[in-house]
Amino acid sequence: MDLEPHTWLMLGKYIGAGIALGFGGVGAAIGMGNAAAQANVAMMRQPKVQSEMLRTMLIGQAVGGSPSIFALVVGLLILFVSPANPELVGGNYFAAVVGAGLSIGFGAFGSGLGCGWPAGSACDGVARNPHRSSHSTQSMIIGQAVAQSPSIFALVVGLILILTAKDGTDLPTMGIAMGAGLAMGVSAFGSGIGSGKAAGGALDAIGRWPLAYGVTLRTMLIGQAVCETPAIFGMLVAFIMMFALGDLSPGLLGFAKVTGAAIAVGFGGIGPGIGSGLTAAKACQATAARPDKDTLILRTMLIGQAVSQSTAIYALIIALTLLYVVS
Amino acid sequence: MMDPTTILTLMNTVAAQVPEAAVATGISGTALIKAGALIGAGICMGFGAIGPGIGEGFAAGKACEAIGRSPQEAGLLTRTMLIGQAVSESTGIYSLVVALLMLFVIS
Amino acid sequence: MESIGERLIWYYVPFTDIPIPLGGVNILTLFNAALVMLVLFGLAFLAVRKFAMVPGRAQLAAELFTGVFDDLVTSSLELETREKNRRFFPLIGTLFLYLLLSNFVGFIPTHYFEEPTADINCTLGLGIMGMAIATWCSIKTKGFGGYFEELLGPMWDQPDATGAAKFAGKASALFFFPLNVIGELAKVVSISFRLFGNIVGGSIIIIVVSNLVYNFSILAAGLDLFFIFFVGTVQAFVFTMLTLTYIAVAIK
Repeated sequence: MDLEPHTWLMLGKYIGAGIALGFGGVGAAIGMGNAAAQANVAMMRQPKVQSEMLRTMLIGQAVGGSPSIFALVVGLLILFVSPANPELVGGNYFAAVVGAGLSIGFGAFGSGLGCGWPAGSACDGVARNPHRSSHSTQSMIIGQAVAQSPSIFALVVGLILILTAKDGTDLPTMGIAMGAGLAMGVSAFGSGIGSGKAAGGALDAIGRWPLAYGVTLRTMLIGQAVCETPAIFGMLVAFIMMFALGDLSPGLLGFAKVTGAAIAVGFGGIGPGIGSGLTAAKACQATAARPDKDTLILRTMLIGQAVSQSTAIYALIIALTLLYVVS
Repeated sequence: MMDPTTILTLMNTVAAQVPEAAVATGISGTALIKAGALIGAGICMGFGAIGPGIGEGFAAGKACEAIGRSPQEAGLLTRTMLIGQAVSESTGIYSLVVALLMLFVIS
Repeated sequence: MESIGERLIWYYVPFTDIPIPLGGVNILTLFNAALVMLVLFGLAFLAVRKFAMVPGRAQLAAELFTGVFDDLVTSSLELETREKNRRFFPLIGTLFLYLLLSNFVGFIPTHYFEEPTADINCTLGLGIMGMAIATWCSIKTKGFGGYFEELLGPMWDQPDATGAAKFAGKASALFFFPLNVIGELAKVVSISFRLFGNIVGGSIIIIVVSNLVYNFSILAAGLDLFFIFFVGTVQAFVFTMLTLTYIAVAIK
């Protein structure tokens, strides 16, 4: 396509910022709504500790809103920071900012959605055991901070894409930029949801069995860390695409290779991320109910999550085959 | 129901137009097919991995729950979980096989 | 904002023309890692300088840390005796303290102090170390055969199966073996990239936000506290716990 530099620049800025903030806002909005809904139910059950719950809910929503703030940061950067040579801007700049938008948009979507569950369950926990509300609040903040890791990865990839945008227009470079964003963003989407689900389960369990606070928190942290593996695969493939790809085949073929690899590792990460989160949530509840059997449950959780992540590994294999083996 | 001759004519028209349109933008038909196979392999593996991932995670979660209830049956429960996951995994393996076929046989 | 991603790398041995192998050395990472080690050494010296029955502040902190981590290691590994569990305590405790202080280095507001953990070489090295120790422990407990059999998948060893079922079990190893090997490698990648991504992400967010809101720098300072102290502590703990869990799974 032969478009003028100014057209490419403005197209990229508007579409990229739109994707970043459009998708990035949805997750946090749903998550905060969930948190508020659960807080309402909890307040109805225990109106006496209303102010305590209100505080927990507000803290949870504030911390859970930060993925969408990352999206806002990237969106503002895309809109207001112009490239060094505006007269040389072409399709590559367009692809880079759209890729950055995809990355942080979907990444913030997942993490924002995920951060809502621990906040809601924490309010529930405060209602069940008002005198142990500090446990609930602390573990909520820790769980949310870990659930935000995927969106932080997405932010890193998005900013690298913006700052390393190339001049001119060629199909494989465009594919690399958009593909890196897609791979990172969509895989972070699943991991963020899963990680948040795990934290939500753990907070629910801590609310019910507050005495098992320590072991539950440990199971939650390990479970969440495993949930993030698909997002880390996505980040790995994005970094490989941006920095470690040798000479890619020119034209449409190169574009197809990187796009295929990005779709594989990106969408392939959604299922394992969410699935591992479901496992971790149940494992946290089981650990809290039977703290004496914590290592047995932890081992079962790790085995189950490892099998659930084998599909993410297949996706990674297909992506690496596409990038390096197929001629 | 369209009659067969019309469909055939339509297909011929479409087939005749594809190379022409492609030549105009400098992309040959074979390259287009290969590119389609490569992107298709990515889509196949990517979307195909969603279901097994969630399903296996669900199975593993229930197994953890059950072990929490009756830890003395841990061996049986883990075995059942692994078998269930292996069955659930099969669709993921189909995706892998189809993706590899597209990468190495078709393209 | 041009400083994002910029690294001070020595490609040659200083004052000579001799190239450093493997693409140079990131001198800031080495410097900061050495700084962290020195500080740790100093703190440890301070804590054990004079033991008293009624502990002073430094000794109290050290005893608290030792107690908490001793409990953590013991309850995770669940070996027969406390002494066997304690063999892993120095590794886990040191790893946590080193990562914690490494993540805090970024708080010093000078260009030359950056977190060693913001360099993938550092975290990858620590990840490889953890997995190597876990693999070694696994081989030591189960023998090389036992370790290898574990890589062949859950269906390899079925004493009560016969005929086709037994053959299918053995054939499944063809499928499970490469998967398990890649799974082991993926553990190294995931554990090291998680720490790296979080620390780099935090420092990038701080730089970008302070560039965007330079008239309202209290926001950047708050982010500094959150990302460096809170996220740094949580991620150091996650890395340590994951290493401990991999070891615990390996020796079972």
